[in-house]
Amino acid sequence: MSEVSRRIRLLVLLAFFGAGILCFRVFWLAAVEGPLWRNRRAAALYGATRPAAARGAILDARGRVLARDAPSYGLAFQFRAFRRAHPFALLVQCDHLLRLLHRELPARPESLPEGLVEGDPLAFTDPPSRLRRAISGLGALPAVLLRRKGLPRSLAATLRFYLHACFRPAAGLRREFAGREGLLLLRMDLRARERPELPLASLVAELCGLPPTEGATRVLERIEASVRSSRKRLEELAELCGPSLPLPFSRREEAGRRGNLFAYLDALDRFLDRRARTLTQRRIRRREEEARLRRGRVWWKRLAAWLSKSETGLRLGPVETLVAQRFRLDRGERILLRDVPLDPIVTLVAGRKEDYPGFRVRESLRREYPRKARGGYPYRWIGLVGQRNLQRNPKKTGRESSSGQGPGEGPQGENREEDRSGAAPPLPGPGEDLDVDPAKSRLHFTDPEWLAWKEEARRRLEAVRREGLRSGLSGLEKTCDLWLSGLSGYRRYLRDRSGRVRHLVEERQAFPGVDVALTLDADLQDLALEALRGARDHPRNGRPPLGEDARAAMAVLDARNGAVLAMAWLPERVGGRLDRRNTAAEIWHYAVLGSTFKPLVAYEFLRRFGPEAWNDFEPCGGSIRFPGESRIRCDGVHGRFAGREDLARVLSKSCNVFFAQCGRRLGLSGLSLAAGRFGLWEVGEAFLEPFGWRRDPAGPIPLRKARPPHGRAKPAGTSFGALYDRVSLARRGIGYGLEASPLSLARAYAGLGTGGLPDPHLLRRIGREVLPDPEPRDLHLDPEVLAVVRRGLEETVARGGTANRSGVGRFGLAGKTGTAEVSRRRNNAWFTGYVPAGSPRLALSAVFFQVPHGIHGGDHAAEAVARFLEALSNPRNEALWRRYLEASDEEGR
Amino acid sequence: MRFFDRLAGFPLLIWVYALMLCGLGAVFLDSASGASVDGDPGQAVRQVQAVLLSALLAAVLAGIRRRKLLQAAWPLYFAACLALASLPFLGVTLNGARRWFRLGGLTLQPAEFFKPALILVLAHWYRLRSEGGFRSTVLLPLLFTVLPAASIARQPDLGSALSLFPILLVMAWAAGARARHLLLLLGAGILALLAFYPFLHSYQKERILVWLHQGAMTREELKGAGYHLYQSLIAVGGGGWFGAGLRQGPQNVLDYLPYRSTDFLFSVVAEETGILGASAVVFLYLGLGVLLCARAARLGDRFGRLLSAGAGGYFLTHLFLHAGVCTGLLPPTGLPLPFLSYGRSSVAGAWLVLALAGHATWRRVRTVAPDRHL
Repeated sequence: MSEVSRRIRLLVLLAFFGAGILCFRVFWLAAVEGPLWRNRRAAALYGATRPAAARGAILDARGRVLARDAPSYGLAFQFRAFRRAHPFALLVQCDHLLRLLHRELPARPESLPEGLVEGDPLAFTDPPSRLRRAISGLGALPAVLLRRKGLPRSLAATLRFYLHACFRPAAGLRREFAGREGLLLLRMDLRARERPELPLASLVAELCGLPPTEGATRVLERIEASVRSSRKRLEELAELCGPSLPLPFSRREEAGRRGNLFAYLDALDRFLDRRARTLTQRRIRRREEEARLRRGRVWWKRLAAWLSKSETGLRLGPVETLVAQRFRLDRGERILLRDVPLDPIVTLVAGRKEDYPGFRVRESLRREYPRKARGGYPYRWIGLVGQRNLQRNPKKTGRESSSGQGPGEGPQGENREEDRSGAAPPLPGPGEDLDVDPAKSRLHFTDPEWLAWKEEARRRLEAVRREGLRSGLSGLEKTCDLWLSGLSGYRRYLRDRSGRVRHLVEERQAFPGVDVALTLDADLQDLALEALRGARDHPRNGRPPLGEDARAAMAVLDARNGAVLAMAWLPERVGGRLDRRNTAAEIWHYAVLGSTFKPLVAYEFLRRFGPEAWNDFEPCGGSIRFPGESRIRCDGVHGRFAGREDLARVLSKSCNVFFAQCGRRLGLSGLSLAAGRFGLWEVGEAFLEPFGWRRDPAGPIPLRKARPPHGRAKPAGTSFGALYDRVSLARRGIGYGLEASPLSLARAYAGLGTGGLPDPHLLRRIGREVLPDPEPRDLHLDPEVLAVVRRGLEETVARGGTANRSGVGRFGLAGKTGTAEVSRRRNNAWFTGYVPAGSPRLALSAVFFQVPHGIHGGDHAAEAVARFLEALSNPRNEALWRRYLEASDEEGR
Repeated sequence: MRFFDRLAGFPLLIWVYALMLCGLGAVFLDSASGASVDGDPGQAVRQVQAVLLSALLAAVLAGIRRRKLLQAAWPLYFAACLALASLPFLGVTLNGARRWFRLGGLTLQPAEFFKPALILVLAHWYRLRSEGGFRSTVLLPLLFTVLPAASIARQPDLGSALSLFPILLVMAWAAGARARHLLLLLGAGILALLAFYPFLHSYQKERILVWLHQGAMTREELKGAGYHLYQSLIAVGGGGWFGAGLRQGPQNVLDYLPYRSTDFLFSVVAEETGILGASAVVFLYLGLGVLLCARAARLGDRFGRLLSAGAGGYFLTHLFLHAGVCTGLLPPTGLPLPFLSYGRSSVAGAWLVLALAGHATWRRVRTVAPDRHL
C-alpha cells in the first residue's frame, strides 16, 4: 500500500469516526434525552385556554335574584403598542429618548440634542403651543442621527425607529410614497448618508420633491396635523373616561391619586421610567453575579469569561439596557376602566382601532349583586383565584380546602381555627356524664350524601383554584361553587412562533353553572337589617345611638324545619367600603351568652332535681356571696324560691342568685348536658363550617376559663376539673363564660318552643332539584318541665319581665334577654325567642356585641326583634306575615 | 472512439450519487420551506433548477483540458480573492451581513465560489511539493487560506471562513505534509481561534458562551442568543427513532426553527425522519466524501488526486460543521450543507468542486511517472 493510500485511508477512518460521533449525538438527543426535549417542545408549542362558564345565579326563597353573572366590558391599555403607533405618543417618546441619551450616555455624539423642546420633558398634558415647538425641534434634528455614528447599535436602532415613525405622516406628500411609508424611510437612510448635516424636515421635503424651505414647513405642518388629530381623538376618550382614573405610581406616598387620561399617561410614563431604572440596576447586578459564578467552575469557562471581559458590547450595557427596558419592552396590559358602558366607550375604541392603538376592549363576565346596596348577604364574595393567590400563600390555600375557610380571612382567623380544632367535646346523651373520647371529639354530619358532596366540592374547588378560574372566595359563593361555577370550557391548541393558533387539538364547550335557591327570604332579610339599623340608631335610656361601628346580628329561623330565613348583620361596611372579608364569619362567630342560657339551665335543673331542690336555695337578696371575696350580683331582690311555678317567675326576672345556685348544683356535666341537649355546639359542624364560617366554641365549659379561685396559682397536683370551684360553676349557671352563635341560640330556642331540634339549612333548591327539609330531631322533653320554662319565657316579655320595656310582648312572642359582661366596660346584649308563643313558627335571635355597660338585652336587642316583628305585621308585609306566621307547614315551604 | 474512451472515464457514479443527494435535499427542502405558512414554497423548485444548471455547467467544466486548468488556477484564485475584497464596497447587506453581490434578481455569494478556487490553487501548489518543508507545505498554503478567510470572517461569515481550514488540512495531508507539521498547524489554529475571540462580534461571542453552557440557558438566552441552538436541539431531540414524518415536524411546520432551509436543514431531517433518517443522511453524505477520497487514492496523477481529496474534504467538512452545529456539538454558525440546503451559490460552488473532482478522473494523465515530473 502506497503512502498516499495509507494517508487517504486514515482520512476516511477519521471521517467514519466523525460520522459515528454525529450519529451518537443524534441518538443521545433523540433517544436518551428525547423525553426531555419533547417536554420542552410541548411546553413551547401547546397553549391552552379555559373559557369561563357563566356562573349560576343565587336566588332567594321566592326566586328573586341575589347574585348573577352579567357581561362586562373593560378598557385595557398597552402602553408599548400605544407609544409605537400613536403620533402624539411618538413625539413625546422621541423627546424622552433624546433626553435620556443626552443625560446617560458618557460619550455622546455632538449632534445629539438635549431634547425636542427646551425646559421640562414633553408631557401628554402639555399645551398645543409646546407641541408645536417640539415639532419644530424634531424638524431641526440633523439627519446624522439616522446613522449609527457615535451610538451603540441598539441605541441607534431605537432612536432611528422613533425618528422614522415621527416622520411617517410626511409620506402622504408624495404619491410615490403613499401607502409605502417604508420606501420613504429607506430613502431617508440613504439620503442621510449623503447629507448628514441636513435637518430632517428639509431632508424629507427634498425626498418628497418639495423646495427646501417651503417643503420643510409643509412636512412639519403635516406632522403637526397628525399629532393634533391624534390628540383630539385622545381627548374624546379622556372625556368619556372621566377624571378619576387611578394613576400608576411606584411610590407609596403617591399611590391612590386619580386623574384623567392625559394625567394617567404622564404618570405611567414616569412610572415606567422609574421601573426601567430599577430593573436595569437589578439586571446588571444579576449579570455580575452570573459572571462571577460562571468564572468559578471550569477552566475553559473561566477562560471564555476572561476573554469576554475585553468586549463591553458583549451584552447590552447599562444605557442600552435602560433604553431597552424603557422604550422597547413593557408588553404588559393594564386595565384602565372596568365595567365601562357599551356605548359610547366600547363603540368608540372598538370601532376606531386605528385611532386608538394600544387600547383594547376586554369582554368578561361580572358578578352582579342587585340587592347589595341594601346590606350584607351571606353569599359574597366572588373572585378570581389565580396562580398569584396560590403563590402568595400556598399553605394557606391548602388549609382553606381542608377547613373550608375563606381566603379573605386573615391568618388570625386561621390560627384560631387551628387552636380549636380537635378540642370539641363529645355530645353527651341524656343522663350521661362527660367522658372525653377522642374518637367522638368532633361532631359529624352523618348523611353520606352530604359527606360525598363535601368531598366532591373540595376536590373541584381545588382543581378550579389550580386552573385559575372564577371561583367563589367566601360565603355561599365559595360553598356552592360546585354547582354555581359550572364546567369551564377547554381549548388546547398548537401555536406557531408568532403565537398564532395553527391547530386546535382539543376543544370542550363550557357548561354554565346551575342556579342555587336559598331558604333566605330577601324581604325578611331586608326587614331584619332595617330592624337592626333602627335599634342601633335609636337613642335609648337617655343614651346616644350606638353609632355606625356597632356590631350586631340577627338570625331568623323557621322553627319547624330549620330553614334560615334571614341572617343580617352590622356593620355591613367596614372602613368606608364593603368588607371584602367574610363579615359573616366575624358576626356569626360565638359570643358569651349571658342570661339567654338560663332557660336551658332551668329545664335541665328541673328535669334532673325537681322543684324541691331549690327549697334549700339561699334567697335572693340582690347578690350571693361565695367564700372568699367573690360575689354575684342580681338586678333585683327576688326573695325566696318555692314551688315548681316559681321557676317561671325567676326566669322572667332573670334572677342571677337562683341560677348561680342551679349551676353549682348541676355541676360541670349537668351544665354541659343543658347546652348539648339543645344542640348549642352542633351548628358549627353541620352548618357554619361548610359555609366557610367558624364553628361554635370548642367546649361547653372552655377550659381556658378555668382559673384557681381568688387569682391564686393552681395548687400542684390538682386537675383542671377540680378547679371548677363553686364560683366558676355559679358563673356558668348564669351563662357567663359560655359562648354560642346567634344561629345556634335561635335553634336552641326553636327546640324549646317546638320540642324538636331543627337542623338549620340555607339551601332550598339546586338547579331543578328541590332539597328536602331535614326532619327535626325529637328531643323527648318532659312536657311538664317544658311548660314551666315556656311560661317563664312568655312572662319575660310580659309586664314585669326583663324585655317588657321594648314592647316586644305585643307580638305574642316568648323569649329571653341576656346581658353578658365581656369586659369591665362592655356587654353582649342578647334577645332570643320564638313567635308565636303558642305554636312557634319563627325562632329569632338578636345580639349587639360589645355595647357599653348599662345597655341590657332588653334594650337594643329586644327592640331590634320588636322592630322586625312590627315591620312584619305591617299591612304592607301582609303576604310575608301570612306566609311565615299563619301558613300551615306545607304552605310555609 | 476517443470520445467514448473519455466518456468511460467520467466519474458517473459520483455524479449520480450527487444528483441523488440533491434529490433528497429537494425533498427535505420542500418540507422545510413549504410546510410552514410563513415558508417560501418556491425554494425547492429554484433549488432543483440551480442543481440542473450547475450540474450541466460542471459537466462542461470537467472536460476542460488539464493545461488550461493549471493555467487558470491562480487567476481564478485571485479573481475570487478580488471578489471577496470588493464585497465591502459592492456587496449588499442582508440580515446584517454583507456576503452577497446582487446581479439583477440573482444574489451570488463569492465565499462559496472561493472554496473551489482554493481547492484548485492548493492542488496546483501541492502538485510539485510532495516532500517540502514546513514553509512550503504548511506556511505558504496557510497564507493563501488565512487572508481570504479573514475577509470572509469580516462579512461576517465565520462558518464559511472556518470551513476553509479543514480543506487545507486534508489537502496538505493528502499531499504528504508531515504529521507533526499539521499537528502544529492545528494547535496554532486553536490558539489563533482563542486569540481571535476578543475581535468577534458581540452576537458571535454570546452564541459561543451560550453554546458552552447550553444545558443551563437562562430564559433571556433562550429567546436571544441561544434561540437558534435551543430550537435546533428541540427539533433533533424531539424526532425520536423514526421522526414525525415529512412536513410534519412541529418545529419546522410551526416556524420555530430559524433558517431551517439553509443553516439548520439537518435539524429538519432529524426531526422528520428521526435517528434512523438522520443517521442515513449522515452516512449517505459521508459516502460522497468517501467515494471522492477513494477515487483520489486510486488516481495515479498527483494533481487529480489532490483535487479529488480536496473535494472529499470539502464535502466532509461541510457535513461535520453543519450537522455539528445542528446537534449542538459546535457553536452556532451559519453554514449550509451543499446539495441539501437551499442556496444557489452553495449548489453552484459544490458542483464546481465536483467538476474539479470529475476533471481529475476524466482528464487524468495516464502515466505512471513520478508525481514531481507531472
